[in-house]
Amino acid sequence: MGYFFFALILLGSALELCAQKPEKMFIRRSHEEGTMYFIRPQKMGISPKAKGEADFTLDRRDTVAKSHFTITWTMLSREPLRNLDSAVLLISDQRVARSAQWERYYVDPKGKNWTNRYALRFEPSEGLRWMLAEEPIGWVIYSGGKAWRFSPGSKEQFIIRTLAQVMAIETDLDEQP
Amino acid sequence: MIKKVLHTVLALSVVAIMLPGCGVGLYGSLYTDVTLPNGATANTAGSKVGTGEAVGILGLIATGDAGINSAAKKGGISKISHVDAHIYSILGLFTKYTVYVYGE
Repeated sequence: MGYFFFALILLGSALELCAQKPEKMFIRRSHEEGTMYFIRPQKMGISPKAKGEADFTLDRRDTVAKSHFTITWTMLSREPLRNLDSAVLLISDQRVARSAQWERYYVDPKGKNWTNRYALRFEPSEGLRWMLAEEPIGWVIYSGGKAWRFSPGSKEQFIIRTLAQVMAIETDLDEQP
Repeated sequence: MIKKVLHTVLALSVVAIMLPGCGVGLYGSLYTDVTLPNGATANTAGSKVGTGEAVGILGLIATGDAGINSAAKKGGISKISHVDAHIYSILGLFTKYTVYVYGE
């Protein structure tokens, strides 16, 4: 019986260790034109209530024009989300940036619901400043007169901010106007 | 009865620890945290990443989708440049396999 509990404690510790270390949520890849930073999928709170997650990519290229910050998100909804009207980044309920472009990856049925996956592109310096914010961050998407607000929990925002600090040190994006 | 079930679970856990070590040199029976190349194509490095994940617990339960196809779909990737895999395991009791697909 003792062995079984030992195994359970070990398993719990492994899961905890795996879940909490920010550096485990992060990938850095060098390529010919610069460096790509990728924050692995994080659970997001969505209002009105829905299940969702998002990952974040900062691709720093040799010119700012080629660089980008992308939020790729998934949301489960009753109705399919066929198009987006717009999307904005928020810091403490204040709009700080509007999505330069968006791309639909897929809208697939899942049981009685739909899985919607989209990518939102922002200016890299705006994206980095957003990730570095101490105040609560989030984004809102608008579609067909409806709005959904995505917000990371405090644990997820801590991971995003910690990793953005690494990106800020390694790039000069946060110093650009 | 409970004792029998626990013994079975323990025996399977031991098998789970031993088996992976037989096949792959970079799989540690006690602890594994490695990223390995999984393949590359002639396409240039893209700016998109897609991930997929599968998890195994106690060598008894395994679930998830770490297929390249679904990871590419999640990343909106139609031209794959390369694929990496990350394996995280403790004693074979908890194993997580994550695939990263890069491309455009």
